[in-house]
Amino acid sequence: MDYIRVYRGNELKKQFELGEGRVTIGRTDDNSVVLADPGVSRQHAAIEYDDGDYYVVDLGSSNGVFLNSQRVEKGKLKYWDEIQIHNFVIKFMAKPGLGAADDDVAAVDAESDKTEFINITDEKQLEKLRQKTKQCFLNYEDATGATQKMMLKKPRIIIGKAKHADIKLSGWFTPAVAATIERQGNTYELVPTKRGKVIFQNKAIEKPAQLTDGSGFIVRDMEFEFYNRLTQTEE
Amino acid sequence: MHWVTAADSNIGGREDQQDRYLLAQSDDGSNHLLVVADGAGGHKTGGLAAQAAIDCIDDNIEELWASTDPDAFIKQLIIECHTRVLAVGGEDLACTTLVMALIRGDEVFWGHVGDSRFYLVRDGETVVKTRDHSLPELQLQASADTDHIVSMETNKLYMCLGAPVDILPEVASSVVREGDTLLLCSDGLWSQIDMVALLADIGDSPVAAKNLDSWINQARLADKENSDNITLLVAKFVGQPSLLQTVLRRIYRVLGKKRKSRMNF
Repeated sequence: MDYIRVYRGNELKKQFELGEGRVTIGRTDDNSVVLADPGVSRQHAAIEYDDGDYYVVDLGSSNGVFLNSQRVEKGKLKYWDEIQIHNFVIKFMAKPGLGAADDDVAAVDAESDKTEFINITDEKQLEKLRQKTKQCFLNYEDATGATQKMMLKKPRIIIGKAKHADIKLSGWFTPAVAATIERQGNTYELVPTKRGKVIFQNKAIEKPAQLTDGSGFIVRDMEFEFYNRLTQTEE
Repeated sequence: MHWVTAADSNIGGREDQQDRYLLAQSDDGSNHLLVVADGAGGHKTGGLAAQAAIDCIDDNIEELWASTDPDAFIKQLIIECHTRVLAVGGEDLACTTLVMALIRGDEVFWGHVGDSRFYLVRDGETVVKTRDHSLPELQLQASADTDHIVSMETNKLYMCLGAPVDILPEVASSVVREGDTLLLCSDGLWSQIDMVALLADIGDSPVAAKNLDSWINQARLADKENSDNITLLVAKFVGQPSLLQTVLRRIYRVLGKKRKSRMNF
Protein backbone atom coordinates (compact mmCIF):
# COMPACT_ATOMS: atom_id res chain seq x y z
CA MET A 1 0.00 0.00 0.00
CA ASP A 2 1.25 3.50 -0.80
CA TYR A 3 1.90 5.98 1.95
CA ILE A 4 2.78 9.56 2.50
CA ARG A 5 4.84 10.79 5.44
CA VAL A 6 4.63 14.40 6.50
CA TYR A 7 7.76 16.05 7.88
CA ARG A 8 8.42 19.45 9.30
CA GLY A 9 12.13 20.05 9.60
CA ASN A 10 13.54 16.71 10.72
CA GLU A 11 10.41 15.75 12.57
CA LEU A 12 7.97 13.19 11.28
CA LYS A 13 4.53 14.67 11.90
CA LYS A 14 2.14 12.27 10.28
CA GLN A 15 1.94 9.10 8.30
CA PHE A 16 -1.00 8.58 6.02
CA GLU A 17 -2.13 5.60 3.98
CA LEU A 18 -3.37 6.37 0.48
CA GLY A 19 -6.39 4.66 -0.99
CA GLU A 20 -8.29 5.39 -4.16
CA GLY A 21 -10.06 8.36 -2.63
CA ARG A 22 -8.97 11.95 -2.90
CA VAL A 23 -6.76 13.16 -0.07
CA THR A 24 -6.87 16.86 0.63
CA ILE A 25 -4.11 18.79 2.36
CA GLY A 26 -4.68 22.14 4.01
CA ARG A 27 -4.81 24.28 7.10
CA THR A 28 -8.43 23.77 8.15
CA ASP A 29 -9.87 20.76 9.99
CA ASP A 30 -11.96 19.51 7.09
CA ASN A 31 -8.87 18.27 5.21
CA SER A 32 -7.66 14.67 5.27
CA VAL A 33 -4.20 15.91 6.21
CA VAL A 34 -4.21 19.02 8.37
CA LEU A 35 -1.10 21.20 8.30
CA ALA A 36 -1.80 23.88 10.90
CA ASP A 37 0.43 26.71 9.79
CA PRO A 38 -0.45 30.17 8.46
CA GLY A 39 1.79 29.55 5.42
CA VAL A 40 -0.50 26.75 4.31
CA SER A 41 -3.72 27.66 2.50
CA ARG A 42 -7.08 26.45 3.78
CA GLN A 43 -7.38 24.06 0.85
CA HIS A 44 -3.79 23.83 -0.30
CA ALA A 45 -3.33 20.66 -2.30
CA ALA A 46 -4.78 17.26 -3.02
CA ILE A 47 -3.43 13.85 -3.84
CA GLU A 48 -5.60 12.17 -6.43
CA TYR A 49 -5.70 8.59 -7.61
CA ASP A 50 -6.22 7.85 -11.28
CA ASP A 51 -5.80 4.48 -12.97
CA GLY A 52 -3.01 3.14 -10.77
CA ASP A 53 -1.14 6.43 -10.38
CA TYR A 54 -1.18 9.19 -7.82
CA TYR A 55 -1.03 12.88 -8.68
CA VAL A 56 -0.42 15.91 -6.52
CA VAL A 57 -2.61 18.89 -7.44
CA ASP A 58 -2.32 22.52 -6.34
CA LEU A 59 -5.77 23.74 -5.27
CA GLY A 60 -4.97 27.38 -5.97
CA SER A 61 -2.77 27.81 -2.91
CA SER A 62 -0.97 31.10 -2.30
CA ASN A 63 2.43 29.60 -1.52
CA GLY A 64 2.37 26.86 -4.12
CA VAL A 65 3.08 23.15 -4.31
CA PHE A 66 6.57 21.95 -5.15
CA LEU A 67 7.43 18.52 -6.41
CA ASN A 68 11.14 17.80 -6.01
CA SER A 69 11.84 21.55 -5.86
CA GLN A 70 9.88 22.40 -9.00
CA ARG A 71 6.66 24.28 -8.68
CA VAL A 72 3.77 22.30 -10.15
CA GLU A 73 0.07 22.72 -10.81
CA LYS A 74 -0.30 18.97 -11.12
CA GLY A 75 2.41 16.35 -10.97
CA LYS A 76 2.51 12.57 -11.19
CA LEU A 77 4.09 10.92 -8.17
CA LYS A 78 6.67 8.20 -8.15
CA TYR A 79 8.24 6.59 -5.11
CA TRP A 80 10.67 8.74 -3.16
CA ASP A 81 9.20 11.92 -4.62
CA GLU A 82 9.06 14.80 -2.21
CA ILE A 83 6.24 17.30 -2.15
CA GLN A 84 6.97 20.61 -0.46
CA ILE A 85 4.17 22.66 0.99
CA HIS A 86 5.34 25.77 2.82
CA ASN A 87 7.80 24.35 5.37
CA PHE A 88 6.43 20.82 5.28
CA VAL A 89 7.87 17.99 3.26
CA ILE A 90 5.64 15.13 2.20
CA LYS A 91 7.34 11.98 1.02
CA PHE A 92 5.55 9.54 -1.19
CA MET A 93 6.54 5.91 -0.70
CA ALA A 94 5.58 2.31 -1.14
CA LYS A 95 5.64 1.15 2.45
CA PRO A 96 5.42 2.89 5.79
CA GLY A 97 8.69 3.62 7.56
CA LEU A 98 10.95 2.28 4.83
CA GLY A 99 14.43 3.64 4.36
CA ALA A 100 16.41 5.97 6.52
CA ALA A 101 16.00 6.34 10.23
CA ASP A 102 14.81 9.75 11.24
CA ASP A 103 18.26 10.45 12.69
CA ASP A 104 19.62 10.51 9.17
CA VAL A 105 17.57 13.51 8.31
CA ALA A 106 19.59 16.66 8.85
CA ALA A 107 18.26 19.24 11.23
CA VAL A 108 16.98 22.38 9.61
CA ASP A 109 15.61 25.70 10.54
CA ALA A 110 12.40 25.40 8.63
CA GLU A 111 11.05 28.77 9.70
CA SER A 112 13.16 30.84 7.36
CA ASP A 113 12.60 31.01 3.64
CA LYS A 114 15.67 33.11 2.95
CA THR A 115 18.62 31.68 1.14
CA GLU A 116 21.25 30.48 3.55
CA PHE A 117 24.63 28.99 3.24
CA ILE A 118 25.26 25.75 5.09
CA ASN A 119 28.32 23.71 5.72
CA ILE A 120 27.77 20.11 4.83
CA THR A 121 28.93 17.98 7.73
CA ASP A 122 29.67 14.94 5.63
CA GLU A 123 32.62 16.49 3.86
CA LYS A 124 33.81 13.23 2.40
CA GLN A 125 30.58 12.88 0.52
CA LEU A 126 30.84 16.41 -0.78
CA GLU A 127 34.45 15.91 -1.84
CA LYS A 128 33.45 12.81 -3.74
CA LEU A 129 30.70 14.73 -5.40
CA ARG A 130 32.93 17.59 -6.41
CA GLN A 131 35.53 15.30 -7.90
CA LYS A 132 33.09 13.50 -10.12
CA THR A 133 33.50 14.86 -13.60
CA LYS A 134 32.55 13.50 -16.95
CA GLN A 135 35.23 12.56 -19.38
CA CYS A 136 34.23 12.67 -22.96
CA PHE A 137 36.28 11.34 -25.85
CA LEU A 138 36.28 9.72 -29.28
CA ASN A 139 38.24 6.65 -30.34
CA TYR A 140 38.95 6.10 -34.03
CA GLU A 141 41.55 4.69 -36.40
CA ASP A 142 43.48 7.23 -38.44
CA ALA A 143 44.68 6.72 -42.03
CA THR A 144 47.74 4.77 -40.86
CA GLY A 145 45.59 2.36 -38.88
CA ALA A 146 46.73 3.66 -35.50
CA THR A 147 44.06 4.10 -32.83
CA GLN A 148 43.55 7.71 -31.85
CA LYS A 149 41.86 9.11 -28.79
CA MET A 150 40.49 12.64 -28.94
CA MET A 151 39.21 14.40 -25.84
CA LEU A 152 36.14 16.52 -26.65
CA LYS A 153 36.89 19.89 -25.17
CA LYS A 154 35.19 22.24 -27.60
CA PRO A 155 31.43 22.59 -28.05
CA ARG A 156 31.76 21.57 -31.70
CA ILE A 157 34.04 18.94 -33.28
CA ILE A 158 34.18 18.92 -37.06
CA ILE A 159 34.79 15.73 -39.04
CA GLY A 160 35.53 16.26 -42.74
CA LYS A 161 37.95 17.34 -45.41
CA ALA A 162 38.09 21.03 -44.46
CA LYS A 163 41.36 22.57 -43.30
CA HIS A 164 39.79 23.57 -40.00
CA ALA A 165 38.33 20.08 -39.38
CA ASP A 166 39.30 18.58 -36.05
CA ILE A 167 39.34 15.08 -37.51
CA LYS A 168 40.45 15.04 -41.14
CA LEU A 169 38.95 12.72 -43.68
CA SER A 170 40.42 12.16 -47.13
CA GLY A 171 38.72 11.00 -50.34
CA TRP A 172 37.59 12.68 -53.55
CA PHE A 173 33.97 13.06 -52.67
CA THR A 174 34.34 13.79 -48.99
CA PRO A 175 32.65 17.11 -48.12
CA ALA A 176 34.45 19.81 -46.15
CA VAL A 177 32.19 19.06 -43.21
CA ALA A 178 30.86 15.50 -43.20
CA ALA A 179 29.53 15.54 -39.66
CA THR A 180 29.89 17.47 -36.43
CA ILE A 181 29.65 16.46 -32.82
CA GLU A 182 27.85 19.16 -30.91
CA ARG A 183 27.77 19.52 -27.19
CA GLN A 184 24.46 20.25 -25.44
CA GLY A 185 25.48 20.73 -21.81
CA ASN A 186 26.07 17.22 -20.52
CA THR A 187 25.03 15.43 -23.67
CA TYR A 188 26.43 15.28 -27.17
CA GLU A 189 24.76 15.02 -30.55
CA LEU A 190 26.04 13.59 -33.79
CA VAL A 191 24.94 16.01 -36.52
CA PRO A 192 25.19 14.63 -40.07
CA THR A 193 25.49 16.70 -43.25
CA LYS A 194 23.99 15.81 -46.61
CA ARG A 195 26.96 14.08 -48.20
CA GLY A 196 28.49 12.89 -44.95
CA LYS A 197 27.23 9.29 -45.26
CA VAL A 198 26.75 9.12 -41.53
CA ILE A 199 25.66 5.78 -40.13
CA PHE A 200 24.40 5.47 -36.58
CA GLN A 201 22.91 2.29 -35.12
CA ASN A 202 23.15 0.59 -38.52
CA LYS A 203 21.10 3.29 -40.23
CA ALA A 204 22.03 6.23 -42.42
CA ILE A 205 20.87 9.31 -40.54
CA GLU A 206 19.87 12.78 -41.71
CA LYS A 207 18.89 14.31 -38.40
CA PRO A 208 20.94 14.85 -35.23
CA ALA A 209 21.21 11.78 -33.01
CA GLN A 210 22.10 11.76 -29.35
CA LEU A 211 25.29 9.93 -28.49
CA THR A 212 25.55 7.93 -25.30
CA ASP A 213 28.52 6.31 -23.63
CA GLY A 214 29.75 3.53 -25.90
CA SER A 215 27.90 4.70 -29.04
CA GLY A 216 29.55 3.66 -32.31
CA PHE A 217 29.07 5.51 -35.60
CA ILE A 218 30.52 5.75 -39.08
CA VAL A 219 31.32 8.86 -41.13
CA ARG A 220 32.48 8.26 -44.74
CA ASP A 221 33.68 4.74 -43.88
CA MET A 222 35.65 5.85 -40.84
CA GLU A 223 34.52 4.17 -37.64
CA PHE A 224 34.22 6.05 -34.36
CA GLU A 225 33.44 5.14 -30.79
CA PHE A 226 32.07 7.78 -28.44
CA TYR A 227 32.60 7.70 -24.67
CA ASN A 228 31.05 9.94 -22.02
CA ARG A 229 31.65 8.60 -18.54
CA LEU A 230 32.02 9.66 -14.94
CA THR A 231 35.53 9.59 -13.65
CA GLN A 232 37.27 10.68 -10.48
CA THR A 233 39.66 13.49 -11.23
CA GLU A 234 42.85 14.42 -9.47
CA GLU A 235 41.66 17.98 -8.94
CA MET B 1 21.73 34.74 -37.59
CA HIS B 2 21.91 37.05 -34.62
CA TRP B 3 21.11 37.28 -30.93
CA VAL B 4 18.35 39.30 -29.30
CA THR B 5 18.87 39.84 -25.58
CA ALA B 6 16.94 41.45 -22.75
CA ALA B 7 17.05 41.68 -18.98
CA ASP B 8 14.68 42.67 -16.20
CA SER B 9 14.70 42.63 -12.43
CA ASN B 10 12.23 43.24 -9.61
CA ILE B 11 12.60 43.66 -5.86
CA GLY B 12 9.53 41.53 -5.11
CA GLY B 13 8.18 41.96 -1.59
CA ARG B 14 11.55 42.31 0.07
CA GLU B 15 13.17 45.36 1.63
CA ASP B 16 16.40 45.03 -0.32
CA GLN B 17 17.22 44.19 -3.86
CA GLN B 18 20.09 41.72 -3.54
CA ASP B 19 19.98 40.47 -7.13
CA ARG B 20 22.43 42.01 -9.58
CA TYR B 21 22.82 41.38 -13.27
CA LEU B 22 25.03 42.29 -16.20
CA LEU B 23 24.15 42.23 -19.88
CA ALA B 24 27.02 43.19 -22.18
CA GLN B 25 28.17 42.97 -25.77
CA SER B 26 31.70 43.19 -27.18
CA ASP B 27 32.49 46.20 -29.36
CA ASP B 28 32.49 44.16 -32.55
CA GLY B 29 29.17 42.54 -31.61
CA SER B 30 30.53 38.99 -31.84
CA ASN B 31 30.30 38.21 -28.13
CA HIS B 32 27.50 38.63 -25.61
CA LEU B 33 27.63 38.16 -21.88
CA LEU B 34 24.76 37.48 -19.48
CA VAL B 35 25.30 37.32 -15.73
CA VAL B 36 23.01 36.95 -12.69
CA ALA B 37 24.21 37.16 -9.08
CA ASP B 38 21.80 36.65 -6.18
CA GLY B 39 23.29 37.90 -2.94
CA ALA B 40 22.55 36.44 0.47
CA GLY B 41 23.62 37.31 3.98
CA GLY B 42 22.84 40.30 6.14
CA HIS B 43 20.72 43.34 5.47
CA LYS B 44 23.31 45.04 3.30
CA THR B 45 26.00 42.45 2.73
CA GLY B 46 23.96 40.33 0.31
CA GLY B 47 23.71 43.12 -2.24
CA LEU B 48 27.38 44.02 -1.78
CA ALA B 49 28.44 40.44 -2.39
CA ALA B 50 26.43 40.22 -5.59
CA GLN B 51 27.77 43.58 -6.76
CA ALA B 52 31.38 42.53 -6.05
CA ALA B 53 30.95 39.44 -8.25
CA ILE B 54 29.47 41.51 -11.08
CA ASP B 55 32.25 44.12 -10.78
CA CYS B 56 34.90 41.42 -10.91
CA ILE B 57 33.47 40.08 -14.17
CA ASP B 58 33.13 43.56 -15.62
CA ASP B 59 36.80 44.27 -14.81
CA ASN B 60 37.88 41.18 -16.75
CA ILE B 61 35.47 41.51 -19.65
CA GLU B 62 38.02 42.33 -22.36
CA GLU B 63 40.04 39.22 -21.48
CA LEU B 64 36.83 37.21 -21.54
CA TRP B 65 35.96 38.42 -25.06
CA ALA B 66 39.46 37.50 -26.23
CA SER B 67 39.76 34.14 -24.48
CA THR B 68 40.53 31.17 -26.70
CA ASP B 69 39.44 28.59 -24.12
CA PRO B 70 36.25 30.08 -22.67
CA ASP B 71 35.44 27.02 -20.52
CA ALA B 72 38.69 27.32 -18.59
CA PHE B 73 38.54 31.12 -18.52
CA ILE B 74 35.03 31.19 -17.05
CA LYS B 75 35.99 28.68 -14.37
CA GLN B 76 39.00 30.79 -13.39
CA LEU B 77 37.01 34.00 -13.50
CA ILE B 78 34.38 32.61 -11.12
CA ILE B 79 37.12 31.58 -8.69
CA GLU B 80 38.47 35.13 -8.99
CA CYS B 81 34.99 36.46 -8.17
CA HIS B 82 34.93 34.22 -5.09
CA THR B 83 38.16 35.82 -3.83
CA ARG B 84 36.69 39.27 -4.46
CA VAL B 85 33.44 38.47 -2.64
CA LEU B 86 35.33 37.03 0.35
CA ALA B 87 36.75 40.50 0.95
CA VAL B 88 33.24 41.96 1.27
CA GLY B 89 31.14 42.12 4.41
CA GLY B 90 33.84 41.86 7.07
CA GLU B 91 32.62 39.63 9.87
CA ASP B 92 29.13 39.23 8.49
CA LEU B 93 28.46 36.49 6.00
CA ALA B 94 28.23 37.96 2.53
CA CYS B 95 27.76 35.46 -0.21
CA THR B 96 26.23 35.30 -3.64
CA THR B 97 25.26 32.86 -6.32
CA LEU B 98 26.57 33.41 -9.81
CA VAL B 99 25.51 32.20 -13.21
CA MET B 100 27.11 33.55 -16.37
CA ALA B 101 26.84 32.73 -20.05
CA LEU B 102 29.18 33.81 -22.80
CA ILE B 103 27.70 33.75 -26.29
CA ARG B 104 30.06 33.56 -29.25
CA GLY B 105 28.42 33.02 -32.61
CA ASP B 106 26.37 29.86 -32.29
CA GLU B 107 28.32 28.60 -29.30
CA VAL B 108 27.47 29.33 -25.69
CA PHE B 109 29.67 28.71 -22.65
CA TRP B 110 28.31 28.94 -19.14
CA GLY B 111 29.35 28.47 -15.56
CA HIS B 112 27.61 28.67 -12.20
CA VAL B 113 27.87 28.40 -8.45
CA GLY B 114 24.77 28.26 -6.25
CA ASP B 115 21.13 28.12 -7.25
CA SER B 116 20.78 30.78 -9.93
CA ARG B 117 20.08 28.88 -13.11
CA PHE B 118 20.89 28.67 -16.78
CA TYR B 119 18.38 27.07 -19.16
CA LEU B 120 18.62 26.28 -22.85
CA VAL B 121 15.19 25.90 -24.46
CA ARG B 122 14.71 24.35 -27.90
CA ASP B 123 11.33 23.65 -29.52
CA GLY B 124 9.61 24.24 -26.19
CA GLU B 125 11.75 21.66 -24.41
CA THR B 126 14.49 22.24 -21.87
CA VAL B 127 17.69 20.90 -23.40
CA VAL B 128 19.97 22.11 -20.63
CA LYS B 129 19.33 23.13 -17.02
CA THR B 130 22.14 23.74 -14.56
CA ARG B 131 22.05 21.77 -11.34
CA ASP B 132 21.78 23.91 -8.21
CA HIS B 133 24.47 23.62 -5.59
CA SER B 134 21.77 23.22 -2.97
CA LEU B 135 20.68 20.55 -0.53
CA PRO B 136 17.47 19.67 -2.37
CA GLU B 137 19.46 19.07 -5.55
CA LEU B 138 22.03 16.91 -3.71
CA GLN B 139 19.28 14.94 -2.12
CA LEU B 140 17.54 14.53 -5.41
CA GLN B 141 20.68 13.01 -6.86
CA ALA B 142 21.20 10.87 -3.78
CA SER B 143 17.69 9.50 -3.91
CA ALA B 144 18.12 8.71 -7.61
CA ASP B 145 21.28 6.73 -6.88
CA THR B 146 20.02 4.80 -3.89
CA ASP B 147 16.78 4.10 -2.09
CA HIS B 148 17.94 6.18 0.81
CA ILE B 149 15.33 8.67 1.87
CA VAL B 150 16.40 12.18 2.56
CA SER B 151 14.48 15.29 3.38
CA MET B 152 14.05 18.46 1.40
CA GLU B 153 15.37 21.73 2.67
CA THR B 154 14.84 24.57 0.30
CA ASN B 155 17.20 27.49 -0.08
CA LYS B 156 20.17 25.76 1.52
CA LEU B 157 23.26 26.18 -0.59
CA TYR B 158 26.39 24.15 -0.04
CA MET B 159 28.43 26.20 -2.44
CA CYS B 160 28.32 29.93 -3.14
CA LEU B 161 30.78 32.75 -3.70
CA GLY B 162 32.03 34.34 -0.49
CA ALA B 163 31.33 31.39 1.80
CA PRO B 164 34.28 30.11 3.81
CA VAL B 165 34.84 26.97 1.75
CA ASP B 166 36.55 26.29 -1.54
CA ILE B 167 34.33 26.44 -4.57
CA LEU B 168 34.30 24.40 -7.71
CA PRO B 169 32.39 26.20 -10.46
CA GLU B 170 30.57 23.98 -12.91
CA VAL B 171 31.14 24.93 -16.52
CA ALA B 172 29.72 23.53 -19.72
CA SER B 173 28.98 24.57 -23.27
CA SER B 174 26.59 24.02 -26.10
CA VAL B 175 26.10 24.59 -29.80
CA VAL B 176 22.83 26.41 -30.32
CA ARG B 177 20.43 26.27 -33.25
CA GLU B 178 18.06 28.75 -34.80
CA GLY B 179 15.18 29.59 -32.50
CA ASP B 180 16.97 28.47 -29.33
CA THR B 181 16.40 30.56 -26.22
CA LEU B 182 18.68 30.98 -23.24
CA LEU B 183 17.35 31.95 -19.82
CA LEU B 184 19.37 32.99 -16.80
CA CYS B 185 17.45 33.63 -13.60
CA SER B 186 17.61 33.93 -9.84
CA ASP B 187 15.60 31.57 -7.62
CA GLY B 188 12.98 34.30 -7.26
CA LEU B 189 11.82 33.27 -10.71
CA TRP B 190 12.20 29.51 -10.77
CA SER B 191 10.95 28.85 -7.25
CA GLN B 192 7.84 31.00 -7.53
CA ILE B 193 6.44 29.95 -10.87
CA ASP B 194 5.55 26.83 -12.86
CA MET B 195 8.77 26.60 -14.87
CA VAL B 196 7.51 24.03 -17.37
CA ALA B 197 4.80 26.39 -18.59
CA LEU B 198 7.08 29.42 -18.39
CA LEU B 199 9.87 27.80 -20.42
CA ALA B 200 7.41 26.79 -23.12
CA ASP B 201 6.17 30.37 -23.19
CA ILE B 202 9.69 31.83 -23.29
CA GLY B 203 10.60 29.49 -26.14
CA ASP B 204 7.60 30.68 -28.18
CA SER B 205 7.64 34.38 -27.42
CA PRO B 206 9.81 37.10 -28.92
CA VAL B 207 12.29 38.79 -26.59
CA ALA B 208 10.34 41.91 -25.64
CA ALA B 209 10.28 44.06 -22.54
CA LYS B 210 6.56 43.53 -22.01
CA ASN B 211 7.02 39.74 -22.02
CA LEU B 212 9.76 39.87 -19.42
CA ASP B 213 7.60 42.17 -17.37
CA SER B 214 4.69 39.76 -17.52
CA TRP B 215 6.84 36.77 -16.49
CA ILE B 216 8.21 38.71 -13.53
CA ASN B 217 4.70 39.68 -12.50
CA GLN B 218 3.53 36.08 -12.68
CA ALA B 219 6.36 35.04 -10.37
CA ARG B 220 5.77 37.98 -8.07
CA LEU B 221 2.04 37.42 -7.73
CA ALA B 222 2.56 33.80 -6.69
CA ASP B 223 3.76 35.04 -3.32
CA LYS B 224 2.26 38.47 -2.90
CA GLU B 225 3.51 39.63 0.49
CA ASN B 226 6.88 38.01 0.59
CA SER B 227 8.07 37.55 -2.97
CA ASP B 228 11.81 37.07 -3.35
CA ASN B 229 13.89 39.34 -5.62
CA ILE B 230 13.32 38.26 -9.22
CA THR B 231 15.82 38.60 -12.06
CA LEU B 232 15.77 37.12 -15.53
CA LEU B 233 17.90 37.50 -18.64
CA VAL B 234 16.77 36.11 -21.96
CA ALA B 235 18.69 35.63 -25.21
CA LYS B 236 17.24 34.25 -28.42
CA PHE B 237 19.14 33.07 -31.49
CA VAL B 238 17.11 34.22 -34.46
CA GLY B 239 17.63 33.79 -38.17
CA GLN B 240 18.11 36.60 -40.65
CA PRO B 241 14.74 37.85 -41.78
CA SER B 242 13.84 36.81 -45.33
CA LEU B 243 13.74 39.40 -48.13
CA LEU B 244 9.95 39.45 -48.00
CA GLN B 245 9.97 40.09 -44.24
CA THR B 246 12.48 42.91 -44.65
CA VAL B 247 10.40 44.53 -47.39
CA LEU B 248 7.17 44.17 -45.39
CA ARG B 249 8.83 45.59 -42.28
CA ARG B 250 10.01 48.63 -44.25
CA ILE B 251 6.54 49.16 -45.64
CA TYR B 252 5.00 48.91 -42.17
CA ARG B 253 7.58 51.33 -40.85
CA VAL B 254 6.75 53.88 -43.53
CA LEU B 255 3.02 53.38 -42.96
CA GLY B 256 3.53 53.71 -39.22
CA LYS B 257 5.35 56.99 -39.65
CA LYS B 258 2.62 58.29 -41.89
CA ARG B 259 -0.02 57.29 -39.41
CA LYS B 260 1.87 59.03 -36.64
CA SER B 261 2.36 62.20 -38.62
CA ARG B 262 -1.31 62.22 -39.51
CA MET B 263 -2.18 62.01 -35.83
CA ASN B 264 0.00 65.01 -35.19
CA PHE B 265 -2.02 67.14 -37.51
